[in-house]
Amino acid sequence: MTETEITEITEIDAGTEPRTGTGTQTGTGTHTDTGPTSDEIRSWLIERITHYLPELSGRIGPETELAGQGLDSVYAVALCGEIEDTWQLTIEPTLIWDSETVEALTESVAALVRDRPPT
Amino acid sequence: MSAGAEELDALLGDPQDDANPVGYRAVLAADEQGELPAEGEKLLDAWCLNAEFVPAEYGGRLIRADHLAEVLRTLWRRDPALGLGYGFASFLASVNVWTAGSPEQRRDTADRLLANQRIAAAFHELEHGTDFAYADCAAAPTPSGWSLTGRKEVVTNLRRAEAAVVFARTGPDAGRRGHSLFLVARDALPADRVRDLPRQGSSGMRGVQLGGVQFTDCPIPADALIGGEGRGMEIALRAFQVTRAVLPSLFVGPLDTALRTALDCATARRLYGGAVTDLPYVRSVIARAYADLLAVDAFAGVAIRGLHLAPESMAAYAPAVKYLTSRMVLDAVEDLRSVLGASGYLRQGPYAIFQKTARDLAPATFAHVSRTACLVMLLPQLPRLARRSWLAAPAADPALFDLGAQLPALDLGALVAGMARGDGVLGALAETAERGGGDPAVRFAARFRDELRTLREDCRALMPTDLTGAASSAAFDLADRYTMLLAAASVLAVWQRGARYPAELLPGVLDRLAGRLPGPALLSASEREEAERRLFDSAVERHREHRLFDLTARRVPGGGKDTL
Repeated sequence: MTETEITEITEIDAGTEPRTGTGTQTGTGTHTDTGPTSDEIRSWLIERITHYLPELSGRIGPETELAGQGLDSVYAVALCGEIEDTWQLTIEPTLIWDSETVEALTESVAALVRDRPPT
Repeated sequence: MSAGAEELDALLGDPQDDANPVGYRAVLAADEQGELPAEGEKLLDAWCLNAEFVPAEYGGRLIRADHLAEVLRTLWRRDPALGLGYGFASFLASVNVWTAGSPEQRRDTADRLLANQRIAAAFHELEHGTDFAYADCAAAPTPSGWSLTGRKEVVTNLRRAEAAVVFARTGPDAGRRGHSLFLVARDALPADRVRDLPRQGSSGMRGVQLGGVQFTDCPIPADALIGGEGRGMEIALRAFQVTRAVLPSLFVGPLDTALRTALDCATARRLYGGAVTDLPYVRSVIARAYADLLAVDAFAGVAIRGLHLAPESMAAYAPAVKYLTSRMVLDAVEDLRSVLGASGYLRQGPYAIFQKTARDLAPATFAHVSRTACLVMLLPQLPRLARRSWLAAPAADPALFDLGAQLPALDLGALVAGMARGDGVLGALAETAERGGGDPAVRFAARFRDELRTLREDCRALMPTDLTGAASSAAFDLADRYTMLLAAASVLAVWQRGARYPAELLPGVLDRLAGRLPGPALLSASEREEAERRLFDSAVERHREHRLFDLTARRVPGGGKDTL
């Protein structure tokens, strides 16, 4: 990810709906055409993490380890709330604690989004 | 109402009876010796108070957190040192086992408690205070289990407890997966690897054994681990929602004793040519302390019912109620001291219980979790609650506010370690405000709702740097205002649900809470005078009839041997 891309993503208001469709899960099985892609979730996560930890701006990518970045306690709780609100999930901060890297967290969230019951 | 509380009250008997082995005289004598009242401990053994902490499925009496709180409050009314040193400490430790222990650990904990043993909660290290995410005491894996090295300090009963729940570092990451909990039996530890540290002197709770211990390469069996390696923080974050919601309800006990003693003194003395209770200042202090007691009882009662009915909100309600009620009871007791004058400091004489109660209450409001630590827990939750819940989400189930009404059994698995998912207590505030009309409750509700609007805007604008312990004092002030609004909303909703609570006392109670928020007084001078007069008259009546000042108004032993 380049710095330009990060800057663009920062324009999104994290407090509002995600930019991809959230509800209308068409199709059958676990795949949906309208759900967010892993790329979108990853970009959103990187943007939110740099919101809490601006010092990571431009230095964070999929393989960045989450341990030791300062995302351990308070910010993990805050990010947990944002993930819940933005992607309509119910999670605990342990999901963040248990994710070694940004990519691992992305995959966990993406899997939960896929398994989300239709609204 | 809990039959257990009435039973315990009957056993504890008349506090003023000098011949009562668990009366004030015995309680004060034990405090002077730096001990717990021996007869009190015997009585609680015989009654098996510990059974209150053991879930019914393991042979105990714990089904409802509100009943547990009512029993413990009864004990705290007589002697907070017994309440902590005999009661609360083992509850604090065991709730971690009920949250995440193995079937064997649950059985072992139940057996110990039902046999009147004690379990210490060894979390605290002086260096780190309640910020136990950085606790240093560490357990390293060995072929047969773990090896523990480090110290725990100012832990109730640590020296004499037959078992302890120990919080220890087991990995490199603070606050993440870096800590684990262990249930250890004292007699299974080699004596040469455990050194008891001298008791630290304390101003209050002097009879409580506040112990310290130094572990040095102390072996711990593998099956001592509670809930899995690295789960210490997560378990404690959930378990301590229970204890932090229950503790504020216990504060009502010592505040009742302080208020009762102040009234004993004020109704017996004459000053400036008249009864002390004729002095407007004294009447106001009594009225306000009584109002605050009722508010603490209502707020604490809602928080405790929340454990059963709104577990998804307890990550906010538990620290909020612990934070605010601590301040309120400390303030109320200090104000009451002025009614007693010099007697408020004397360690002898008819009112000596006052100074002991005040000394014991002060560390209790700090214990378990400090007020500042409570606000730090609230800060990261505020922007989210502001964004999605306040004035937008519906009111909680009305049963949340119906104190004493039926509750489903406590389900510790429903508590969440993360963030409150909603705030139905403040939802109830918005509903009351919308009712309209001129009665004082609605006027107060509208004021509180307007304050919530401001708070919502301020919290939405909070920057990430203001969500941590390093937050600005302005951010801490927002968290403080949030707790005040929660209390106000609780009081309003409790009165609305409970037709049995005297309506004429409500304006005075709300006036006190509003006084802790910015903005001009809502009551006129004459309205406030009237509100305080009604509170004072009610307090005097309850005092005369030996009824509790809390919302139950239950009759209790007192005033001579044969009053019950």
